[in-house]
Amino acid sequence: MNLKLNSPRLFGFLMMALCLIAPLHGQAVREAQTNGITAMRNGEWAKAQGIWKQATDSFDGRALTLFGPKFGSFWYNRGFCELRLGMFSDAMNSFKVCYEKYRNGKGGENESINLYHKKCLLYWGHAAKGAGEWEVAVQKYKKFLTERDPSRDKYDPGVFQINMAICNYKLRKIAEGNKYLENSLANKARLRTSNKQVMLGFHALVEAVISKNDEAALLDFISKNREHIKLEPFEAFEFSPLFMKLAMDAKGAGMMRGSFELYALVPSTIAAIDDVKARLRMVGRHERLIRDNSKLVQKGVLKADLETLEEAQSSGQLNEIYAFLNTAVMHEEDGNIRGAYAVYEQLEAYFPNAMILRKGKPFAMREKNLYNLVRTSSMLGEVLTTEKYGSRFLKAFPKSEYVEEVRRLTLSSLFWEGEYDKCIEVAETMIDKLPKPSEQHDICLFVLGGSKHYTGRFDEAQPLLDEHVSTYPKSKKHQRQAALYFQASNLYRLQYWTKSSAMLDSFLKTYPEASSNAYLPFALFDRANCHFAEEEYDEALVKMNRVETEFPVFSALESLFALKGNVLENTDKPEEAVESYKKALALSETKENNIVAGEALLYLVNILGQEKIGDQPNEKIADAIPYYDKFWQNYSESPYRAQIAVTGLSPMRAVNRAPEALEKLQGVIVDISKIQNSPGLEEAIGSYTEAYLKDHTEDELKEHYYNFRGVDSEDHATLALLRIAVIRVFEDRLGRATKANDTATMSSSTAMIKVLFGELKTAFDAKDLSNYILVSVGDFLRKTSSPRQAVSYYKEALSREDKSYRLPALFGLADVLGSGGKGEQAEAVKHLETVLSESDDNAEKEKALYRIVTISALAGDHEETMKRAREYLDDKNNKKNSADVRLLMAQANDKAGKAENAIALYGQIWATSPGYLKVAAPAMKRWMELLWVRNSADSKGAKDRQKAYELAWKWIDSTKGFVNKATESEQAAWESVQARVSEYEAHGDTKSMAEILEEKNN
Amino acid sequence: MKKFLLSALALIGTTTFGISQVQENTKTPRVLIMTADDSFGAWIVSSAKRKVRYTETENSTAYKDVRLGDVNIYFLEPSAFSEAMALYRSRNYQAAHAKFKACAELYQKFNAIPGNYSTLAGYYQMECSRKQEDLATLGTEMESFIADQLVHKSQKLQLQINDIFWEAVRVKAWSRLISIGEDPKWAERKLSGGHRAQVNYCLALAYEGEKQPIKALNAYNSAFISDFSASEVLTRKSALACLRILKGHEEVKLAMKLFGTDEYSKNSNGAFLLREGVALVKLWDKALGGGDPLPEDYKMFLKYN
Repeated sequence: MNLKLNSPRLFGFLMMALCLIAPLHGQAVREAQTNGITAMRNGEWAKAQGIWKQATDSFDGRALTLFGPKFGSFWYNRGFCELRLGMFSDAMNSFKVCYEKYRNGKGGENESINLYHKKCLLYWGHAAKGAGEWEVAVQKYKKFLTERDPSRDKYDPGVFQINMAICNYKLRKIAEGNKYLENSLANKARLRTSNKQVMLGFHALVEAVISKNDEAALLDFISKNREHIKLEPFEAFEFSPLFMKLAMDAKGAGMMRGSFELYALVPSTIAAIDDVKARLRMVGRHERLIRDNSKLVQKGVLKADLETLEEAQSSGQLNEIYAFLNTAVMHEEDGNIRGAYAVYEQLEAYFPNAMILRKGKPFAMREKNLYNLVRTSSMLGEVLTTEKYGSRFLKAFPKSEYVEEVRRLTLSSLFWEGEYDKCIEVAETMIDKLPKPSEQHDICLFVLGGSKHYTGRFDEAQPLLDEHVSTYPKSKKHQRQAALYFQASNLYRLQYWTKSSAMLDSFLKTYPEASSNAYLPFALFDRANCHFAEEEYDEALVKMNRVETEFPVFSALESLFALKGNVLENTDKPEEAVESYKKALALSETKENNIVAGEALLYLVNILGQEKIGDQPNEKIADAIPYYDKFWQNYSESPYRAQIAVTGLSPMRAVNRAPEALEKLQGVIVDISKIQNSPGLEEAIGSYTEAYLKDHTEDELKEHYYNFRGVDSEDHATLALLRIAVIRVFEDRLGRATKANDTATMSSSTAMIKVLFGELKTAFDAKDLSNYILVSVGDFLRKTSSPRQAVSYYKEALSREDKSYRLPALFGLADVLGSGGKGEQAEAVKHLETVLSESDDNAEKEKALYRIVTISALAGDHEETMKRAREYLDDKNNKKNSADVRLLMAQANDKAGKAENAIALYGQIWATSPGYLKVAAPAMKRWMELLWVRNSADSKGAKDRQKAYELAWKWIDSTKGFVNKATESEQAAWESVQARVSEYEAHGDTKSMAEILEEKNN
Repeated sequence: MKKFLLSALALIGTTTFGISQVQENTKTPRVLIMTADDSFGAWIVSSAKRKVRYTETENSTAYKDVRLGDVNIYFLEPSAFSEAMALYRSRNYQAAHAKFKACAELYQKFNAIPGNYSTLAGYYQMECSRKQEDLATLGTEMESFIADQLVHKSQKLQLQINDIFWEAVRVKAWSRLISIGEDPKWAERKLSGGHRAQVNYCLALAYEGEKQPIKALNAYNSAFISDFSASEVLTRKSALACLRILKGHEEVKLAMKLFGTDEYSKNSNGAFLLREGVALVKLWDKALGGGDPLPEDYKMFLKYN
């Protein structure tokens, strides 16, 4: 606020100064006074100050004598100019001289009076205030009040009160400052205190409060004086930067409530524009300042403010943006994400062009605000909002640093762009927060299920997709259609062929039009796969032909050709199959689909590289070689590499490249061995062993495996498997020698096996092997001629804190111990009971219970055998060994003297499983014998002995066709029944079947 | 932002030009009359038929007439209005209501002149009713109010908000209110912070009334951030409504029950909303409570901090 030269008050002051100076003597002094006053009137403060300075410097020494106290006005004028020029220290000195040297009544000309002698105290105070000497200022103001002549020393009491308040606040005397400020407010009308003056005082108060960290004082002041602090928007607008600064300072000082009280004083730009426009309408053509109560209204100012406001509105540099942003930060920091979200939503809706100043330059905020809106809405699970604003963001800011994050948060866009892993990450954290059913949950569930389907997590996808299909039948059309397809297709992936087939058929029926069903060719292809799995080859071809014809650019056409090849191969159309595989290969190579290319090459090598076609050698086996070579040349990283390495052995041998093929397979074994616990390793070694032995001896194999190139010497698992493979080879040799009664080979093989076991134990400390490999070694060993070699491996696995493979280890150990003495058998049963109670796998439980039954039987514990066998048979899940268990149960009853039970059980066995000679033969034999011994007759008069002979004869007659295919022990059992039949036939108690048949014929 | 300059000279003295207001207590409002050539102070005695009768000195009987269409009239703020406004700004709405009412009546005969203080006092009288959520009184006052002479567009907009939103709240017409609030005409309209706070608050009440708690929470939050808590009554009510919704939410109840146990899932919706309740309690003292103590009912949220 500047003093104006056309101000009547200033004009009067200057005229009076001129009159006072007029009587002074001396040309120079007169010139100085005239020039000084003129310069002041013209607002030339620097020039005026120079004139007054020169005069005071030149004449001050004798001035009091020559002119008396009135010369004090020179110092007063000099001080006044210095005050205007911001030379506060100089001004203080000038006013000091005026006051201290030129006291009235101190000589000079008659009636020489210094009219400013007291008034200069007020200005001395102003100068001290300007110099930041607050104590001095307060002191001078007070002195002025005490000494002033009320009739002559006028002052603005409103301004005086505010200045006193400011000085006290600066001295951090908040209570004292409040006294003056509140006094000026209470007497605002009388003292004519303007709102602008009030704001200056308020500013000083807030600074003091922040400095003293006294938020309570601020809140108390605002509460008491809100009516004065809360200005009309047109006036408050001018102070918005001040309020913002103070609010931010308060926030920085941790005064959050104070900060928000200050933000609340910032008017909305829209409200300020409206207020200014209304007042402009009111003032009409009136240009001059209107003092309306404590409001100062002036058209020029209003017009300038309107221009500024409208410019701010169009440029987005609005005061409230800062308040909004700080509000958002505060809410989020305190954990109210929804508050921050609400802020960002309003910023996007109402202030999309928001700008803030950053390092003095305008900075557009929309990108960050919109990103924060997407981010906070996703935290709240506001899926639809996230979708809406996420899409908007990606469109508006495609190169933003937040693009990746926004895409991650925007579920459906992520999904449709194929970012399935990210979808899973986001949807899994979100889904539990969503109300069910709801549109948000609909999208989230769909995306999660669909993403899991696409990422091959079929078992996790299925329940989600099922839930979506059942919960949201009215989901968006494209989403519903996709969910139905995913559900059906996912079942196919889980190999539920029948169920998937039904759903796919339903899907194809519901959405038959390609124009409105993008999944149609995929559904047809999946359905063809189901047909293939269920050996419905013709139907599979029909579906695939449809896809080929109707969707010539089907994205998975190469896979379709591969499947078609499979179908043709299985329907004895090898040449057509080869053509289809070739098409699959060509297309996949064009599309650079390396997976299908590798797959097609495998099929080609497999079909073309067969050793025989029918019973004849394959003359064209070499045709497979180019494909084999192509695979290793271009697709050696394919997941089919292990299979093709094995499949290619025959054709490669046929073209005399067996060593090369073995080398490839060796490389595969080495590669697989690097993947811990890889399940294909054992099979690969088996294939390699078989192929190697075609050109090498067992001893060479041993040497080869003991020095297998490429396997890390620390890879104990693979090295152990190789050693086991060698043992297996010698076990086989022992088996063949035993069969051939080749005692020399039997002896050498047994010796070698013993050596190999010894070396296995020596070379590999069990402690170095993982549980998986320990159990694998154990499982192998317990099935060899030396099962007890396995015990130490199982025990090592069971001794560890790592509980992986515990149950298989317990089972293996029990299996070995079950063949031992009583004590070991008891321990075995204990281990098996553990497996039975802890396992979730029915097959594992069945195996354990079966083994308990066999151990009980071996131990001769008939009651326990009967009991556990009954337990086994009562569980309908246990089917695999039910006939064997029934036999053991019958035998236990038999041995326990329960002949009737035994007769019934044996009878059931041979009657229900007549062709399963392993159990049917011994059951029949014992049944016959028991009946023979009982030698009774039933209610219809049928005699036991005749019945035994007759039914056994019939059984022998009906099963004689199986005997050639039976094992030796089964054949022996069958023959013992036959011998018993002959024996009984010869006995006098029976009528021979020949006689019976003859009688019937007659 | 405009740079705020605090000068040592700023408070040396204030020089005022033009017309200064004289304290008055009469029924004749002090005005500035602006003609095409001049402007002068006057006291309006009466107005009728688009004419204004005035005197150039107070208590004079030298009446002069002027056509409203030929001049601009600027009403200087009468003390009756200033007193009422001081109470209003001090948030003493009940006392302010009475004062505004008296002021409106005092200057009623000038209410055909744009910018008159009878119409303006009548407007603020209704604002007092609204701030106190005395919607029945507001409805009655709205019926008799003539808004033509209000000069602020924002005030006319406020009357629309009263008529549409607050009236719907009064009769609990929730579905209608939601339908209007979600309509782009209102949802996308550029409103001042104070107006946004009101629209969101009314909409939140409607969502709550329609048993849509999450939408209600969103709208209540929008209400209290719209003008940085300046609408202190709505801010406080919105915050309490949020706490009420959260406390009664079934999933929050479950989260409270499981809090501290192994079954408590931090990622559950209940846990998320529970944390929101804790946050609002913390924010109560900082920004939402306006200095009022937090009701005892909601202090329990702090147990789950």
